[in-house]
Amino acid sequence: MAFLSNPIGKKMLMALTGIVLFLFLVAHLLGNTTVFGGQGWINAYAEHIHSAMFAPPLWAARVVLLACLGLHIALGTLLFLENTKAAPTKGTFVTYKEAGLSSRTMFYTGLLILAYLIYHLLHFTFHSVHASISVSAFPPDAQGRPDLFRSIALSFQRPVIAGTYLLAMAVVCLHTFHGVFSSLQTLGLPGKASLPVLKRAGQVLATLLAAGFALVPVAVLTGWINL
Amino acid sequence: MRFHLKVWRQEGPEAPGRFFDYDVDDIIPEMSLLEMLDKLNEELIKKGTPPITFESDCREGICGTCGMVVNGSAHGPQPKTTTCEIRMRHFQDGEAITIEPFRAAVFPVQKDLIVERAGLDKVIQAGGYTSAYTGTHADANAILVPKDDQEYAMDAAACIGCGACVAACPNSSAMLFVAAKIAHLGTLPQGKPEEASRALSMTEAMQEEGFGACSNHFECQAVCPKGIRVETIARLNRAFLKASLKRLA
Repeated sequence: MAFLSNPIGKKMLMALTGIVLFLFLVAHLLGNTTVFGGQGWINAYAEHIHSAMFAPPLWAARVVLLACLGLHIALGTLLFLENTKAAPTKGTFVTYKEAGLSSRTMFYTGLLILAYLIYHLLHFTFHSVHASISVSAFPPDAQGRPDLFRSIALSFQRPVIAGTYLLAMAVVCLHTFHGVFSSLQTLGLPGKASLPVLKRAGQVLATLLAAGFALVPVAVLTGWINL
Repeated sequence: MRFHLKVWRQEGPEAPGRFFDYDVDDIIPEMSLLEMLDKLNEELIKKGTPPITFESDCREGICGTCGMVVNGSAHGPQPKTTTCEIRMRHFQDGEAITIEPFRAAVFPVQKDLIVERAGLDKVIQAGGYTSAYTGTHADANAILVPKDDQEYAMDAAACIGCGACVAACPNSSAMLFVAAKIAHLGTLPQGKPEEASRALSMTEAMQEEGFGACSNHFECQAVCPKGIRVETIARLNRAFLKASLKRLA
């Protein structure tokens, strides 16, 4: 508990949970790439990870991710409130030299990502929003698998849905643009020479990740992926 | 040179403050910002107006007493330069200059541009020292310190505790200040034994005093008049982690 009452301790747990969540995003992106293989690939992938064989690790991952998400949000909110209390005003004339939009909006982009996450789960996991184009609304594909491919294609053919996802990926990019490097710095990784390299690498990684996710709605909108 | 100044004036800790406008003329480019304020104060005294209150001591950038926010930058627009070392030639003739006190919840304004910075002293008292008995002067080189460590410790020891890092930090964190002390003392043989306890006690004191946590904005290193770098914060984080693991074991 002494660890968590220390400001660095809180930051370190923020950093660790953030890294776990980022690694999940990387895994999620790798899974997404199967959509470019066509209907057969992504439907097979979706059926596989939901098969009985994968159930125990899937549930373990869900529990870990949910715990990390909860801790990340709770500590982030606590730190945000403490930091706001420590700095009620920074004067009338504030100039920023190194802090970019990304680092200064972490709390707010975090909240937006939470809102998006709820929407995304309701859409593709619980099928309660856009129910008419959800997996459960379609008959199984030729191999008898749930037709996730059809749901993805029909969802992103609607510009409002595709636009929402693209906007959300811009927010994820903004959050991780600072988050990836910041977590490494908090864990004490950088030295004098490696700091600028790690910072740039974190920014590149965050941009690539968000761009990778954004590629799916863009591919559907442009007709690269179609039924 | 002539300038249009907007200066924050506040009667006391509880009184509301606001900006006052002043025009100054006949300023020599070689004058420091503080000398410009001295000149303005002489004129104010002649007019029977209370002079602008501000702190200064050495006026050569080594004591950390002066410090105000000039045009939105702690210490002013010149990198690695304290307020007292800023020359008026660093500004454009006729420029409007905004001068405010350092802002942080832990730095309450006492009067005009003077803030209470005792919070930093409390952090130092929590562990910014070595308690080893050092005796009389030892022979030079009796304790060998590698050249790189000497340089590193000396760079960190350049911290003058002015509080600019706190003033610039969007969270009013004192991490760069604490990191400089940890790096300075922890790199040298005399300070090494207490490094773990120092990392814990100083960061805990930092929180108790009401400084924020580090969000890695790095505004601190941009304004530090002594060029302390944020790598020292990574080093402090490592020291904290080691100390926490040691406490567990």
